[in-house]
Amino acid sequence: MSSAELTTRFANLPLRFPEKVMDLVIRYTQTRKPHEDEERSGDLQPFERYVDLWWTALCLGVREGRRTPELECGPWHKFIDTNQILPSDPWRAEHLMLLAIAETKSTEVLSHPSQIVEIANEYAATGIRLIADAMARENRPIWGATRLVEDSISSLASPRSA
Amino acid sequence: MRLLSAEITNFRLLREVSLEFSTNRDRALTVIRAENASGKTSTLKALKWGLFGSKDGLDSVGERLSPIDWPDKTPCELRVRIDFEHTLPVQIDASTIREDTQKYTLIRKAVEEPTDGTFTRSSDKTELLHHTPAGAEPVAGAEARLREIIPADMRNIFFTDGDAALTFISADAGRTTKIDQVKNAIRSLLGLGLLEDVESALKHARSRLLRRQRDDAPAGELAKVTQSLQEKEMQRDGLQSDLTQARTRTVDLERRLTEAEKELTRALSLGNFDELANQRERVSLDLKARAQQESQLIREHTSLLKGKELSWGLIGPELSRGLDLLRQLVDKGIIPKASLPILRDRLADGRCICGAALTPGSDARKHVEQLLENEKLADEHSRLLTLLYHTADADSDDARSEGRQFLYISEGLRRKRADNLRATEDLERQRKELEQKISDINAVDIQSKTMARDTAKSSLKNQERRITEIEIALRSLEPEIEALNTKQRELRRHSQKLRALNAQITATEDLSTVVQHTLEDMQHIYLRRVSDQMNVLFMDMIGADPSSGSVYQSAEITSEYEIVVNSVDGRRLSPDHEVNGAAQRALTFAFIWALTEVSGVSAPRVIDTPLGMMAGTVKRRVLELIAEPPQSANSAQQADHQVVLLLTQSEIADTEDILDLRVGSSISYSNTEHFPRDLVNEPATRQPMIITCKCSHRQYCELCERRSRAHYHLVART
Repeated sequence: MSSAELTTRFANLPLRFPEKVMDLVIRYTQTRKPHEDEERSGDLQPFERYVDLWWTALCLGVREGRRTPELECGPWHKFIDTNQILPSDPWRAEHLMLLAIAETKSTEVLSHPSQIVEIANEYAATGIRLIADAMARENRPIWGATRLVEDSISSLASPRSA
Repeated sequence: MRLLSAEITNFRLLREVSLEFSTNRDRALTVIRAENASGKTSTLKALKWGLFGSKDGLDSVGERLSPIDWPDKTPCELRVRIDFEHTLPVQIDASTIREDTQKYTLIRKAVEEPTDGTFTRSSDKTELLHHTPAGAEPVAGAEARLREIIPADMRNIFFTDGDAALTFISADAGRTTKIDQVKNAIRSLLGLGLLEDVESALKHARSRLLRRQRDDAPAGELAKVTQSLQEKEMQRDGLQSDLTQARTRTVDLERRLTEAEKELTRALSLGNFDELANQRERVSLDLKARAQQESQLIREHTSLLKGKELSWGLIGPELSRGLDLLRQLVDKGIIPKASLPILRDRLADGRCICGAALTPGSDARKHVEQLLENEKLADEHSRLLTLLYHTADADSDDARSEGRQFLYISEGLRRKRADNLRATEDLERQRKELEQKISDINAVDIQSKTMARDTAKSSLKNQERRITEIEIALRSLEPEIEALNTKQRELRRHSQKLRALNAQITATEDLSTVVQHTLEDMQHIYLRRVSDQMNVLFMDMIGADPSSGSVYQSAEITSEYEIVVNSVDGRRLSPDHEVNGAAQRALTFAFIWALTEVSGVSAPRVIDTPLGMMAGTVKRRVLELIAEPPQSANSAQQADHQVVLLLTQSEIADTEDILDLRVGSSISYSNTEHFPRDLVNEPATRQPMIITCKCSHRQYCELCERRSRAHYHLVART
């Protein structure tokens, strides 16, 4: 079994965002074909693919320490299957599993890939709001996202209680 | 004479300019601050034209004075009004002399009409009003009265252009021209018109007498000799007159060349078109490279937002906790599963670890094979854990650093992107400025100015050649005349019939010699006085002390009317190529200043760009000397001491403290055409013209604020 084999654990599992944030997801990613005369730049659409925004949102959600289940956020929008995404970034499968082990405090969760993805989706549903707000505050959204990540990492390194 | 105020109308860019001059004796300086192409030279010309008229006040009669954009076939009235006062000592009685100051208003007008690239100008209309207690009274014979107050010969001494004045010593002028200029300048101080008239009258009288002698002489050798002598003398007079004309023309051409070069430099200061186009190309390429760099940086930035560093940075603690759980499994020996490779090894080896043979088909081997199969099935979960453990454990080294890695990378990106943005903005500004300069350049204008400069240069060369030819012809003529004269005198002595006529001719010749010698003596006396005064001023300006072995020991005007500098090693230095730029300026200045002091004429000294090419101590010292009332001058000169300086801001730099103490009146000029390149605020009109404000050498206001103001530490005028 190679490291790439880790990703095969996540065959055809849906990566999802809450339906109601999809306009924001579209706004800040480069997946959509631009309108005529629309300025297209990494500064304005800092994320190449939905999954890239999803991953950052997931990490920020973890940092926020809160999962947003479907009941709370309304219907989900499945934007892609895991098997189309994770093979290109195998480290993400590894991080998903380690996160799930930490979250459930058990390695048993590895036998339930759908649960792993569900945990991730719920964290991403929390994080997407944070990052979308941060990006909306800046003329160049990339700096809103960058500052939010920087602040979160910095506060982690020197917690408020310190 | 002191200037009180002036109004200049429709004189080049000076469409409507009013000037107030300082009359405060302790603060005798009036500073007109103006950048290049902002009306300094026009102001000098306008004042000269006002005071001396078209005949004497203009360097060239063919020079257009009206604004260059004045509509064709539309009369344009040029007008200069000057209010001034003139102080004369009046003898009250045998022991009392008091100063009497009279006020005058001078108005000079002319009408110029541009037509198809050329123009016509009417003759001047001059009005001189004398202000008396009864009111202003017109002065009859205005021009003659003005010449009494300030002689026309003095015009280029009291109204000087820092660049043009260099022709007294510069390499551009031929040696003869330089000498003639110095000679004429000193001669202009003598005011010996009467003696010169006598000299000319004696010459004519002698010619008349010689003609009579020729007519009365009996036929024969004397008549022949007299005839040849007269022909030769006529030839010499013609050549001398040609020489005078050629020299006058040379001086005029010198001035025109200086003016043409200045105009061309001004036009070129906007930039050489090809060079500017190349610069724009270079800037555009740099901008393209910056844009590519920006795209690359953005790519790096977006990669950072989806990278492993972000993940480790944000959820590193959770990932570490997951890995710790796996490590515990390792510690407990649950993973990795080690039995599978051992069982495989044993089967391959054919012997169990207990020593029993595992021969094919044996029960022992079948048992081990079964064990291997069971382990395989039960191990799927453990294998996953093991793989995850190995992968994550290998990454965990990176994890420790990657937690902070995101911050390092983002900080680096922030700095690089800010630097790139600044560089891009700077390049954009450069490109904008270059494009503005390119659009400002009138290629036709530069071409015509280059042609004017080249024409003046070649005319000057031709004129110099002509002078040399005339001088050679004169030199070869002189011995012939001398020989004929000797012969004629001898023949005359033998002719009793012409005794009376001979006596008259001899008398005129003797008188001519006396007058000539008197003129030469006086010229020599003045030459020495100017030379001595120039030396004192020059040494003071450059701060040289001969006793302490300074390089420059003295400056003098030789008896051949050449300005030279003597060096410490006893050499005579030519100022045009053996003296540095600042010392050249100082020397020219010292010469002109000495002329004004020795002249005894009390008149304002108006100088355009006096401090150009000077810096440091020399610049400060020159300004201090300009600002001080002349020590060697007479009382009227001291009382009327007034200096008008036309300065650029860069000339002002580093002399502000001196100006603070000495300036009594300040005016700033701005050229509307300098927006937006140099002027910050858009002028009320875009018509090319000079607008004025009262800002001093330290100030700026909405009208005159330039982009360079911070460089000169100017403060807003409140």
